[in-house]
Amino acid sequence: MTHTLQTQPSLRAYSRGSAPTAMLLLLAILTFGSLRCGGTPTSGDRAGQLNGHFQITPSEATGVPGQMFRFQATSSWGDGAVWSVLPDTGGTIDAAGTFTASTPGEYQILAMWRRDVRYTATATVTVVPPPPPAHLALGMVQAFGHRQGSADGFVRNAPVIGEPLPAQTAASASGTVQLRHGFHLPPAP
Amino acid sequence: MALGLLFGPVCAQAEELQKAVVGGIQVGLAIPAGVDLRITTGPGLNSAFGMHATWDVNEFHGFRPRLDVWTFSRGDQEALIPQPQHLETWVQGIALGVDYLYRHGGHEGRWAAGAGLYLIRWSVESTNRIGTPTTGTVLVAGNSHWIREGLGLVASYRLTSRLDAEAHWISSHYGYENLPAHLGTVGFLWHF
Repeated sequence: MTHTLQTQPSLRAYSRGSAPTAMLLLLAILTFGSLRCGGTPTSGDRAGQLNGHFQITPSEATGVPGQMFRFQATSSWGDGAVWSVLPDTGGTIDAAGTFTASTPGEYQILAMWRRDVRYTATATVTVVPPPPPAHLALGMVQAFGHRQGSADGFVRNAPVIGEPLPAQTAASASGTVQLRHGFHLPPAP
Repeated sequence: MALGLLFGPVCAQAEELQKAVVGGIQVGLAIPAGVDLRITTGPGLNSAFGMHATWDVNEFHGFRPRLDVWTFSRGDQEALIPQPQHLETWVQGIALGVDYLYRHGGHEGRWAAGAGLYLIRWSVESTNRIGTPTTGTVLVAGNSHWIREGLGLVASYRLTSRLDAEAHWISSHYGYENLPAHLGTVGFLWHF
């Protein structure tokens, strides 16, 4: 009984003295936490904020009908996208991001991040009409094709539209195989 | 008789504990604060409800384990640049945690204030629509969720022996970018 009478006042004194201090400390922590984490005006989960934390590579591509392009959508928190083409007359795109061009025009490749569909990325594809088929006449050398740049900086000729196979291949000094077309001169008359 | 002597003190302790711990429910309104949560939620009324138990350690100090559910109204975002986009979002938060309460004036006092620590499961149900009538429209829907910690401040005023009015401030984060998610709630706590 004596013990109870002695402890009760000391408990009250402790309660009244330390609790407001602890509360002030918690309030300070909370305020600091709120200030430290200020708003981000360009967060990617808002409308109109495309290609931020979630992006498509390549962002631009050009090709002819029938050509296939492989797009990749990535974010720093993981991959996985729902793919679409706008307008959908431009071609088809599969779940892996492989686009097959169909009609000439400019199209948009859209990817929405699977984990949070608010994150959206876009890429542009230009589908150009196929060039006229190669035409060789006696005494004339002609070649048609698209010049394409590669990652290693070499410029190569794509297969000529209308020819079943490139006429020749040749190795460059660096060992890179290049495609060459129509380099044979016609025989002298 | 012997059993009575044996279990008598145990029962008495259990009764005292029962008096010290009371359960209850809470209902109120949630108000999103901070740019990110306000953009993702709508301008309508947002409900806050849940359940709690209050454990009075002594006359002045107590703990309140609680489960809160915040359901926000549907948010709409519209953008024309870089291309027409309409984003619909529906945010929900489920918080499990505990408040520490200091009762000003002890059992006789009406005011109590304190701070809380919570684990919050944020979820956002989204519908993303991009395109125009001329180009066609793409619509994708999905649901995302994250579990984040939260800190809170709470103040309550005892209206009757069973009813308290409460104001609650919660500071947390949500989303893959860990955006600030602050909210305030006002409501009533009813004790059983």
